[in-house]
Amino acid sequence: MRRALTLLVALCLSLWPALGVAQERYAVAVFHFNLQYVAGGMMGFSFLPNDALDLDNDAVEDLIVTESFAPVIDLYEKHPSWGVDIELQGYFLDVLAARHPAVLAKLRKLAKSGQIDVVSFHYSDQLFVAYPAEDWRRSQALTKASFAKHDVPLSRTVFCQEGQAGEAMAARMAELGYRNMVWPKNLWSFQHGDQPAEPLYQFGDVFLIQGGKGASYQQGSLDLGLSWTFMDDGELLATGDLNPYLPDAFKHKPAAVKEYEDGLLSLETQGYQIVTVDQYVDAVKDRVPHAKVPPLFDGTWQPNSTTGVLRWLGGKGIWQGERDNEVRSLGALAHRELVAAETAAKVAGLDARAELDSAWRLLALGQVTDASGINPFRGEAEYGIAHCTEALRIARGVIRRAKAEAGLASVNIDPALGSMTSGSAPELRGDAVAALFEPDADAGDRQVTTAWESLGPGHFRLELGIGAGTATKIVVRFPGELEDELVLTRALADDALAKYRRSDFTFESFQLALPVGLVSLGKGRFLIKDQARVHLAAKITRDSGDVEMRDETLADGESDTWVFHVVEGSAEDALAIAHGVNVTRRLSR
Amino acid sequence: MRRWLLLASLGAVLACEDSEAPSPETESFELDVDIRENAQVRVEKRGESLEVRLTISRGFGVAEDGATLRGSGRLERFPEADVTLYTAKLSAPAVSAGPCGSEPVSLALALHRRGTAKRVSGSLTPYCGKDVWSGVPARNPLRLSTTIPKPE
Repeated sequence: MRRALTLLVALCLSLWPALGVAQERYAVAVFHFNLQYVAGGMMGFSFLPNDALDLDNDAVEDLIVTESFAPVIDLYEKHPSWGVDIELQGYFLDVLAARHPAVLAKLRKLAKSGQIDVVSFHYSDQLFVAYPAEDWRRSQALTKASFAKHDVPLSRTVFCQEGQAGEAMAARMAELGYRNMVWPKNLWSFQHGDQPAEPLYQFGDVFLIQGGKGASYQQGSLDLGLSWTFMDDGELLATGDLNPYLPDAFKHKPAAVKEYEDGLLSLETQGYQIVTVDQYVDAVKDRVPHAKVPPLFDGTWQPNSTTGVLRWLGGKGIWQGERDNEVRSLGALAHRELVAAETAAKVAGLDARAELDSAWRLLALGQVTDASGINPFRGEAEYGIAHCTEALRIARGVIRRAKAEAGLASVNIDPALGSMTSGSAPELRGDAVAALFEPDADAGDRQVTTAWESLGPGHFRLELGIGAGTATKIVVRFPGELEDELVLTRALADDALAKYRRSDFTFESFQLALPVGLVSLGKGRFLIKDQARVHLAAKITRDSGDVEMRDETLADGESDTWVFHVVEGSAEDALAIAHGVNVTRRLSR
Repeated sequence: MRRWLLLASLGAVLACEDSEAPSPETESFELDVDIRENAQVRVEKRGESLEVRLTISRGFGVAEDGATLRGSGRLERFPEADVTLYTAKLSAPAVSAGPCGSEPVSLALALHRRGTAKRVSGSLTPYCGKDVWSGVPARNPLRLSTTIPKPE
């Protein structure tokens, strides 16, 4: 990004209109820092033990702070007239407070002066677009508490880990006092083509700008220009584009910072104001049109190189030891158990608030994106598994105590009703029936079996048994009927159906995380992932009604079982069942 | 790479025939700990109650290197997901150079198994203090994983 800075500035200057027009030029930057860049640390990354590489979690985190984060903060401290957005997870502040208090003090000072906007929407850099909204709500509350505890002002701007973005974030942002969404330009252009960006968009009740894409606006005597000087992993700037997976080379390179600094000084000389996103929005919001945002699917910031969210939900990276379906389905299982534990504790009058809060924190950490993508090694997958199993243990312990408190041996916990009653209701199972359709499976040398059950009118359970074999790539296509309308739900809005028209988009195919598991197959038929059994991306296309899911990370020799629910009925019926399966599962314990 | 060792039902085989209490079913296996280290775990099951003995090659500041820890727990079942979870609460004396300093350490074991998979994986999570089983861990959960067969 910064290498293109000089060229970008020259280009912008050449486009300036004639003298006599008031020219305003703004330069913004979002530094996206992720303390969980190598979740769990480098221990075991190399095939053979290597003291130089086998750094534990804290050592890698410390490198991120000292080699990449602190130099960026120092740069802005040196130039009090410059503004910038620093995005990080709430957990980052906790680590700064514990091990780098001087860096935290400097960050706090610059944040309070208004020079640095510290941006945070989640406590852990978790894959929130793939889970029910409650997991993010708990995480955001933790972030808010962390900012308050460490006396750092929380910015009104939002950018997220891996550039995760979704339409329903607009409402959640407005509810919580956020104001400015930074939507990654590639997640936009992947869906609608590469069109010029508008200077400002209306995004529900908040504003939006396209992250990483400049914009201009001329009207009468007004001539506005927006340029980006950085929009990338913050770790890369001060280290000369190296990342923490190379800990022996991941070092602060003053020349790299100087190069960026010189670029900004040049911009300043040319009349640019180097500002935060919030300052830019304040400057233009009353003087430019608020452009309409087209329909946008949830996703991540580099859909071309990561095949959308597939890379975190079934797609294989470059290292051995990746286990996407195990990691993600375990996160879903822990979600259900925690939701049930909340209900059980409340019904029993059990004060388990501290325990449950600690488990929600562990779940947020366990749902970290890096546990299943982009290129996780075994240690990162096991970081996700370790945190989720501990959250699961705590949740089950709370349920046991709640049962004891209530004097009940076996209970049905229904989070949707807020009830815990004596008994043991049957699981979501039914009688065997003939196949509604046959999924098309490509599993190499593995045998794939299907079993259908009826659970009531229009409600079916489909179990796909994937036998042991050596093939690590399993691809299953569910036949659908092509309709222009596609029905699903969006991240952070579990209760609302979202209807899109395929013809509104330019892509050939798109990968969906499906946070409550629901996607339409056309003609009144819906597919629902049972996310604790299968949590993979769903590929939809413009020219077919089929839905495809794949797991490229099933270990050699291991088998798996994928469970789906199929609904024939209304979208509302399907949503209610998806809720019952994935959001507020009724559990017998 | 260290691999599994199973001594399934050893206790049952050696049990005295006229004992009234049923002999525990036992499993022994070896786990990788944060990939580089290892732990030997022996689990005695009586119904869903577990007695666990864990010996860890390196203590990571929350146990002594080579320490053997003991505790009890439960086999938790999640039938709707075909998952089982081995849990146990293990206690370790203080490690002065570790994050808990002079406090004893509570170590929570949580290992999950999907369906009939041979592999189990999970965590050993340290908390500072005696009988402390939640909160912010003293350090990241230790990552455990191995490949084991289910008992016959």
